[in-house]
Amino acid sequence: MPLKAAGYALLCVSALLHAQVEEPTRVAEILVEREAKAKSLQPDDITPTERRLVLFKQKKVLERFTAGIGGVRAKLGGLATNGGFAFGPEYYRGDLADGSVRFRSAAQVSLRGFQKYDIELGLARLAGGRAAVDLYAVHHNYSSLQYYGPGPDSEKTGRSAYRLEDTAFDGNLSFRLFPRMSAIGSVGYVMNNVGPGQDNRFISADRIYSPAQAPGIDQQTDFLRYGGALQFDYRDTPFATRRGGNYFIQASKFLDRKLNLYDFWKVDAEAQQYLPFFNERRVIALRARTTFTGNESGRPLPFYMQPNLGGSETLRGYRAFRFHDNNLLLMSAEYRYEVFSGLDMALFADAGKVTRRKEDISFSNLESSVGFGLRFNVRNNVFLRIDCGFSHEGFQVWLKFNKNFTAGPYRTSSSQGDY
Amino acid sequence: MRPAALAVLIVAVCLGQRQTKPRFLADDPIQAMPAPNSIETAKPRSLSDQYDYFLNTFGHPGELSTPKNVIRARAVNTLGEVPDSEWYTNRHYLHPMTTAQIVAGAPGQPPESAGPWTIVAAKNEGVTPGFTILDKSGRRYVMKFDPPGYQELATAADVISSKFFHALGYNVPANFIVEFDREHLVLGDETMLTDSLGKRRRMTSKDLGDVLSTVARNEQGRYRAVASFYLSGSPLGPFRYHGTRKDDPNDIVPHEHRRDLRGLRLFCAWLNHDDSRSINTLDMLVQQGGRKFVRHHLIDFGSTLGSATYGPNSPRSGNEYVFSWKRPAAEFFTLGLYLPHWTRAKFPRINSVGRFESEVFDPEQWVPEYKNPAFLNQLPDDAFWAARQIMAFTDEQIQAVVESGKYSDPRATEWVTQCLIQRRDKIGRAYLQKVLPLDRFAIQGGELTFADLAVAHGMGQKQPYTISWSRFNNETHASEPVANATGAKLPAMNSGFLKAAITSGSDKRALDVFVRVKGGKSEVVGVERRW
Repeated sequence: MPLKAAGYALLCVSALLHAQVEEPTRVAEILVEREAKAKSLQPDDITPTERRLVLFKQKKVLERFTAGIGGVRAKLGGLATNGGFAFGPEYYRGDLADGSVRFRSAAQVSLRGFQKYDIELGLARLAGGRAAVDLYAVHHNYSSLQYYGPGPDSEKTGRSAYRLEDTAFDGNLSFRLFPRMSAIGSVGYVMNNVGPGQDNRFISADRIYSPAQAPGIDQQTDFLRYGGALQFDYRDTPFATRRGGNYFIQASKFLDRKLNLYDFWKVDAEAQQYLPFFNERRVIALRARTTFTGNESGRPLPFYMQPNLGGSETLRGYRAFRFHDNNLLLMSAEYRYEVFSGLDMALFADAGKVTRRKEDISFSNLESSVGFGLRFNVRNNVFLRIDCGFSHEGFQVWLKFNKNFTAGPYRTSSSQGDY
Repeated sequence: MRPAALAVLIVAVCLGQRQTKPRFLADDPIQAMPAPNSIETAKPRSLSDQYDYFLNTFGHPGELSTPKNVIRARAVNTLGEVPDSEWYTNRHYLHPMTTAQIVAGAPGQPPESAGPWTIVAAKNEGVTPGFTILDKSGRRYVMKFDPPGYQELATAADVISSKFFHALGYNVPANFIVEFDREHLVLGDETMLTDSLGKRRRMTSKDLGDVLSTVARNEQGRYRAVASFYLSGSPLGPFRYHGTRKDDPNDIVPHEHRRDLRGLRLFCAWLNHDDSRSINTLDMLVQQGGRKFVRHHLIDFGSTLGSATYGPNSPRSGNEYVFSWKRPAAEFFTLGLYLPHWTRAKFPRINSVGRFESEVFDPEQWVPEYKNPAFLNQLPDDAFWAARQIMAFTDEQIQAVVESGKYSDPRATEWVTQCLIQRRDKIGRAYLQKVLPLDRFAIQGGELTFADLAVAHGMGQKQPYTISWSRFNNETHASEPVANATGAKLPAMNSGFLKAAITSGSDKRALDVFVRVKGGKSEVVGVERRW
């Protein structure tokens, strides 16, 4: 046995020594390495997780979910605050008539039973792309919108709920005067119905507020609206604005078509200015907004048509719909700073008030709130916003799938405002 | 004990007397890798950019070189040069190119302007829309456009950077700026379109109009695009910056240790190619000389210089990873009062340039969008290898390449040229002197000669270097000093190896130059740098 082993060894050693007679080369060394690898080749597979992600992207799962099947897709959110999570089917076609006609219709229900049904037709490429027509119809059935009583002195403890049902039709014709300036003419009609609130947590508004305090709570009416608007918008992008401005004014006349009691006019004006510094990684965003209303009779507006303050878009330290009255002033300032590419932080301050008489609009006795927020974005498009607002009435946390500082044009339904 | 095991033991004992492997083999230093082994099969596969992002951001793929475990670059010859291979071809530094050759870029011809361009494939999804066209001669190109409002931004960057990367030695597509009218495009009979939902369907004239409506046009209403000459071979998907392709026998060095990929970090820093990630690479299975093998390419340079392809780059680009912990935490908790240095960068108000500058650019701090294992492994000698190549571009050559981007605004050409010159010089100042800046070693007239690159580029004073000679035992790697042998003159020797240890005062930086003497001829065969 040892002799056999010695024989093997001798053979091996002599083979190696023979090999050393020929000078080794780098090329030969590399070829040996390659040959060694060639014996163990295998498909350059990716991990199952990576494969799923590749398929997810290749099959456009997210895009298909967003776009839906044959135009039918899921729509999330978009109903009034306090309704809870809302969802429902939406049918959207942006490709009709070679893309010059847009059609959309949705039906949504929220966890608290709020309902919204709407339908929209848009003609986008009129007059060589300078004009557009938008036709819109909506029905809301909000079972428990909140109402705290009229005026700036309403009490937090005066919280109540009411049902608002309305059906509105709107038509807008917008015309681009200059590259960043548009004129908009609009007409609309709204049919309103108000009833007892359906939320067990809150008393119904009609049980604690009289018609004198909440005009229109006993009998509702319909309105025909017509008006016009001007908009000068030079923001860099409307989705995650860092520079530019957006200036908007809209004047409307509302005609009471049923009771002939509540005719009024309304002017909404909003100015937004974005002041970037440090290469737009820091932005001061300023917004001022006001709504004036009036009529010859001096009669207040129906409470369900009044502008309101409080909520994720206005006074963020107050509950939604906290203040109602005929006129409104709101100012907001935000200091936004980029933390990393997908997240901006914001420190904000809001101040505003509602008044019965437009003469009372001033910068004194403003309600105010401060807070901070996080804005998550993908490629300059905010997809999630979390704002925490503080006021002397406590604090509020808002989770929203949109940016803030949106602006008109406003439609006829009172439910089209910001929440 | 079994006979085989006993034999192994005996061989081991016999060979135990043998010394270590020779340091220099007969054919060192090799200038090119041996011709690639032919591949029977290699299947295409895609990589997920999201997976790549998370893997590299929150994981540690590949083998990292650390201060305690320094891993020197591989895929280099004994001089520290990268031999020509399917990855890399030595071009401008070792074999100086003329300005015209640099500007010409990768081999290929622009599409024929005469005759229609037939669209054979299209996509209206992704960061920017694009077409695949055939020109009159049947040559195939990928056409990419500028985003609206930023005419020339991405197309100029794509062309300029592809030419630099080609001169720097990488395999890239030949890119050309083209301008055309709508009428120049015709739809092929069977042209399919991949729409935004990933569905493939026959492309119509309306689709063509839709795609063109989303891209920038010049003042004359003409379209400008990059025509990217189709790479030869069949695509296998991107390569990773770590590990090797399991189905490629020629891919034997982990990518994170390849000098051509470690050094790439510096080239990307120079051109602000922060999008230098796997998804912007492409392996092609090519057939040449009767062999099939994988050739590795860098592609898609639309997100270089000041461009992010879909618009201007973020000022954060190149200065910070998309996500990291420390700086964002500092910004978060200081309510934005902590200001990273790049927030003060000054950018020109030229849309075609985007955000590209040289003042706050710091080549040592430059990072891509997310961690890249090969870039993380870059050592001073890898950086020196790259820096000297960047320094080899003259001001005039840089300007000529920038002019090939065909900016319509002379201010754009001037700004980009000046930025590249200043960024080049910053790179030279930062990295030429991380090691002793000596290169181009040769034996002339019995003396060791070399160039001091820091002095040559005006970035350092001429320093006194001390050269000490030793006899080098190639088998044992032991050195034996030669008495009184200092200076450039080689000590007398008939055959064998000499080692010249070059130092500069008490500097930690040093290098050894190895000389093979054989048959009366002396040849530099090795360089080893220390820092």
